[in-house]
Amino acid sequence: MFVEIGYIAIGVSFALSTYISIASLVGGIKKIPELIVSARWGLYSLPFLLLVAVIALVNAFITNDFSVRYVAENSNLAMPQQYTWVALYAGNAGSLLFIAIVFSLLAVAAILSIRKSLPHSTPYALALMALVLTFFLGIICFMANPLERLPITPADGQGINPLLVHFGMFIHPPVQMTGLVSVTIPFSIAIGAMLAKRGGRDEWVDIGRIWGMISWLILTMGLLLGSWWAYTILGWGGYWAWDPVENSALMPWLAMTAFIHSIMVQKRRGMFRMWNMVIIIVAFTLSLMGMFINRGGPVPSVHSFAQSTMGWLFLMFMGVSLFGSLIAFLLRMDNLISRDKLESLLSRESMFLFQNVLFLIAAFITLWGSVFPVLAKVINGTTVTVGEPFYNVVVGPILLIILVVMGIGPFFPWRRATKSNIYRAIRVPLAAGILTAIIIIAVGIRQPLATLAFAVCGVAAAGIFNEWFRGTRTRMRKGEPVWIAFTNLITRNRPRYGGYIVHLGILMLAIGAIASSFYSTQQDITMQPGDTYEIGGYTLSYLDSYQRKYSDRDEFIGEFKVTKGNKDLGLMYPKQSFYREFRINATHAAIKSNPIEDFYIIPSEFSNNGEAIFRILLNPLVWWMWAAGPVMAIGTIFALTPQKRISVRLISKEEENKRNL
Amino acid sequence: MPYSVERANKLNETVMCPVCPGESIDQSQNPLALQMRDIIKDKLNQGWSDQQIKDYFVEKYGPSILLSPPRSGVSLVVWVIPPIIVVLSLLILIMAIKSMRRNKVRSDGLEQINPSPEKISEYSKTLEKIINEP
Repeated sequence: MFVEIGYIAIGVSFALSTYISIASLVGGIKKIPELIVSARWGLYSLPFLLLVAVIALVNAFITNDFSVRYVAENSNLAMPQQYTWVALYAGNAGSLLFIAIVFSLLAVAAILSIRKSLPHSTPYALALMALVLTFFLGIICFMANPLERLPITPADGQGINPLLVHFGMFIHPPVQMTGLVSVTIPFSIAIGAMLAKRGGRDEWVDIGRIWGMISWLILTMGLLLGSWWAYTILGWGGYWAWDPVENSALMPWLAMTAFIHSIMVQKRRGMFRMWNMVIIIVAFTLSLMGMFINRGGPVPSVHSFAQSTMGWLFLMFMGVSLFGSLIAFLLRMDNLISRDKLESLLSRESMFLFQNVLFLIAAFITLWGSVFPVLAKVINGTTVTVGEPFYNVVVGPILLIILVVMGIGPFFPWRRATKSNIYRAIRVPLAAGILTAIIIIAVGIRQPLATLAFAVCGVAAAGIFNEWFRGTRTRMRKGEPVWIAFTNLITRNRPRYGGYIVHLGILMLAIGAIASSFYSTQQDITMQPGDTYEIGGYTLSYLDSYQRKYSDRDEFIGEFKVTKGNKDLGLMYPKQSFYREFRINATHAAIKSNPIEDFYIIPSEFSNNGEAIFRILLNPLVWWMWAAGPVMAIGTIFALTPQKRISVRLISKEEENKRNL
Repeated sequence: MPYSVERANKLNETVMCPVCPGESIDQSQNPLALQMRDIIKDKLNQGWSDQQIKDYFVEKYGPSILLSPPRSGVSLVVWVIPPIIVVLSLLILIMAIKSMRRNKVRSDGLEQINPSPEKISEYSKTLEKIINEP
């Protein structure tokens, strides 16, 4: 009964969403306020309709209603109840429903946030959001309905993929999916403003920037959580593999990073109006591309849990929306002429431009590497793999240049920098970079690339701290005590200082990534229970191994006692689980982590007599990568907190409108 | 070149595990991956070169077994395009900068505003307040 109600709710929400997009667009073009209002209220009711469908699905899971195909495919009687949440988006149909409801909520929030301040462009933005939603709901309705019934009810379901039974599964996929779909919001706000011929008035910029940063933050968290999950569970000692699906989430992140920077130029200087439109179109297209690769793209990947043929529909939708937005852009280009011209190559504006191009290069090369195997197969019939070595060679150097730009870019003043400006801003960071390199070489590490990379991090870090120090000192000269001076400094310009905090987070990430990719130690050892082994100052004793049988899996567990010097680090239990029904072997590494180094044991092979092969990894500074997450979140939120603005209106609002300013 | 753990690890990182999508045999703990790691170890001990070992796997599993596409044949394209992307993007950057520098600029009409003297004094007072604020 519930199932049928949910089924109807999905159908109704599809129809409603179609209506919203048409009504809002027509209302916007023909200036019919009633239509726009009805569309808006239609949108407000969508989350409730979709909630009905979600409740129906959850109920089917809880009552083990295996007559519903999706429930039968993604759960069984043995599944613990709390995994209902995971099962909800473990498969294709369910994840689409999840995306739809999350997106409808985001869209409601977005419309509420722009409807007063952007009355002219709201109908268009609403129409765009509704169009995207209609696309998702259409697929759910006609191709992948999670509430579809099976002709014959099976006695038990197939169960959930055991690799997904992990704490990380509760957060990484929902955050990642939300991040990808949330790019639609700043896209709709920007394109909406452009369609309404208001692109030349930068009224949409503030709110567009806020939504862009929210979306960026969610994408960042999705990526970090995914890496953290891979690192702690997949058991290969790494966190990033340049897997096509990882790439598909990275590309929109790269484009959004470009956007939230270049939008600042429009906010401050009324420039880059066309550029920003192009960037947000690229970001949106890449986010659709991400969902396409994830939902049944033709590329093999560790994420091949939820594939289907509907990927091609995503590709078509992507093509249509890219084509449509570009046409709209060409038609509205005249509205997007800048207020000012670029005065100098040595300016903050140029630095932003350069940063943007670097991020886009990284995104496009990643895109190329991800789609090449498909192209090769279609055109030539050969199968090739484009893996980590390719990206390390090709994208690696670009990321390094980006770090340099991050280090020195913020110190270029707006409009035009003089040589002495630059010299004064650059001397401390540069000295710090050289010092870092000298220290690293003195410590005895002789790897030119790593030394360079760390020196670059030194430049960037010193730049930020130098800026904080100089600003605080200036304020202290006015008689403020140090903490008050510092607080005043950073709270007076939150976009800037919040950005610096995020940059520090990026540096932590970079340091962890550089250290662990250049200085990781790896050793495969065969051990008998009772054996002791020493590596990198650690002593590990293999105490025992045992087997445990569960209803769905066999576990092989090794018990280790680990000490470093005289310090007892306690027991560690690396284990392997073999899921009989799925014939899947899951490896669970054991990790002892601290800010300096992670000690990591991966079980490779257990034999019956207790002899086993283990892989021991010493990964330096990885801890900092996970610590970077909260730092970046704090920085972003800080940059977003509203700031009191002092403004004086020189002419009345009516006159402003009359003059079409 | 004699056998060494580092050399074996380096090779392991370039060979895909055929049954575990997206993972190299270095990363995967699948039995087949372990077997393949052993094969690499044996071949290295027998004095095979890196290229010979790679060719051996390519012959057995096809070219997609290598993570890094070879720099020949069709796969050469994958290596050629990224530098082209870089060059094109830099060209676009230069064009963007050039056009932004000699841009026709659209005035936002601010210069035509003639605010009343009261407004102007209000404005300068506010400005002063901001500047002198602690």
